[in-house]
Amino acid sequence: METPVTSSQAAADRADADGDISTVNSAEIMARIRAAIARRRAEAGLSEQAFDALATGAPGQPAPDDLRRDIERLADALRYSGVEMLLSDTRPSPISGVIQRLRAALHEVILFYVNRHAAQQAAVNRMTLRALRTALALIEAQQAEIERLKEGRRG
Amino acid sequence: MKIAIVLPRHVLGAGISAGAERLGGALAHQLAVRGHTVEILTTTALDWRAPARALPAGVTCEQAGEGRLVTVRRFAIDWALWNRASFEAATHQWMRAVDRPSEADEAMLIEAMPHAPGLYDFLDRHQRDYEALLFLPYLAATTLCGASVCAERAAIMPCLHDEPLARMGIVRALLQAARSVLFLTEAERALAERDMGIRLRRAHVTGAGVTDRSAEADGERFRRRLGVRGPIVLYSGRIEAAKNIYALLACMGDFMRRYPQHRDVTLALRGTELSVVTPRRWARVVPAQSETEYRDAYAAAAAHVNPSLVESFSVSLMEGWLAGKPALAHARCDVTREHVQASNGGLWFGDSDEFGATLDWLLTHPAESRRMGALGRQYVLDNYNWPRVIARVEQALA
Repeated sequence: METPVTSSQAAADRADADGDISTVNSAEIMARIRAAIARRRAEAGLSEQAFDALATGAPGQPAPDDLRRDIERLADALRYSGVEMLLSDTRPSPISGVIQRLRAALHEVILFYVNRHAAQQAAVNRMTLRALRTALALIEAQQAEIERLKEGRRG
Repeated sequence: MKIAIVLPRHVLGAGISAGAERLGGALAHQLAVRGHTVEILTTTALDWRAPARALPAGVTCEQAGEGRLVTVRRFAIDWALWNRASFEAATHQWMRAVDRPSEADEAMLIEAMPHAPGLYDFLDRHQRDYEALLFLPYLAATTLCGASVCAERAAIMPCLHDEPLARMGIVRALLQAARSVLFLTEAERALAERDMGIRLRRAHVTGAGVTDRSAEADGERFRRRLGVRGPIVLYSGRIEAAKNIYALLACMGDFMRRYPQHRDVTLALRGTELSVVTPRRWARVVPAQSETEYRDAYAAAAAHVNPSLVESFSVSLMEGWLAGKPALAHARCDVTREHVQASNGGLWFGDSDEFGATLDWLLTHPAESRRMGALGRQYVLDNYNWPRVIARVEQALA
């Protein structure tokens, strides 16, 4: 268990940060709160560095939650595999009907091969997704273990 | 003045969750009410992930109030040109990168964006029909390509965030060439001029207008919807990693463990869930429903929190203050922290310990918290009321 901030500790922190309500000053309250935290950390023998903890999502530091999101996006993207026919109208002319039919036939042939390739690729993607999910589960288990060890050190 | 406001998407009401697009629509209506002839030039897109939900191309009119109309010209997105996978991969990569994209990556990213070629053509042929052309935000094809068509006539409200994409060469070139650049805060202007070293021809800090409708709110209605009795800490906005949501969840988890006396506190995440939030006893995701409902959410909250590191203004911070609630902002986000410092409307946190201590302070000092909320509200009413903002925008566009 992580050490809870007891009511008396919290009350002490708050007493340090209390001030006159008519002149609420955020900067002053912040200074008192920060001083109380620094004192509490010093008493517990903990370094300042250990608590600069808002790195999740910060540039260059991917975390399990980021990875989980990436995997969900990948799973989402897999639902969009395959290509549909897309034919714009041709300029009206005596033979535009024939041209349009020819274009449709041509597109169908291309789509047949493209979709065959897409199906193959989709199978590879599904395997990649499964592997990534396994990796995520491992990372989360490791993170839980790290948390457990940290709590043990604090306790 | 005849003004064109160029936006990637536009729809009336709460249909679009991106703050810059909502701001663009509101600016158009407020400028029309002031007596200007305003047109919104936009695309048919509603949701980038669902091209089938696109609106029809063409010209429509919207009631702006006081009998004034805003003309909306919608230009079709060429979905066949759009490479969704490549666009998403590129934006995702560059949002998290440390360095700015190379010229080649920049070109690839812009090419992969959804484009409305008809809009660029219209701007090319009709730019001189307007006395002012305002483009927002910076990271949209409508701005990057649309403003390029009429670079020296363009006014740009970039809504810059401190992120690698903001440092692209094309952004720098457009801002330097623009007739006028409109910033939402001094911190955003400093980011452009001081941190990014952009030399601007004319720069203005206009802010954004916020309408006070807090009197219509009903906090109890939101509590009933959530089935929650204890204090609510509210996050309102897009629920996604880019808004630092996972750090907020980590901090809140620590808070719940370390302050057992606050076990009845609920973190309500209200908005569109774009990143996955795994279920937690103390966290509730509340899908955005209506304009009324978000005001109810603020009325129900004990405090509102914005953990984002990348903001250019933060309308959600203003809305929380209009409801009279104290704010918690991230210490490393200059924009939101400076709002809080300037108003004395709340506190800020730089790590999990500070998050816990500041939230505990707010929850156990109801009188002071109310005073902070009131100071925040006054700050919004004094600085970001529409008449004052519109006067600054008029000056910037003149």
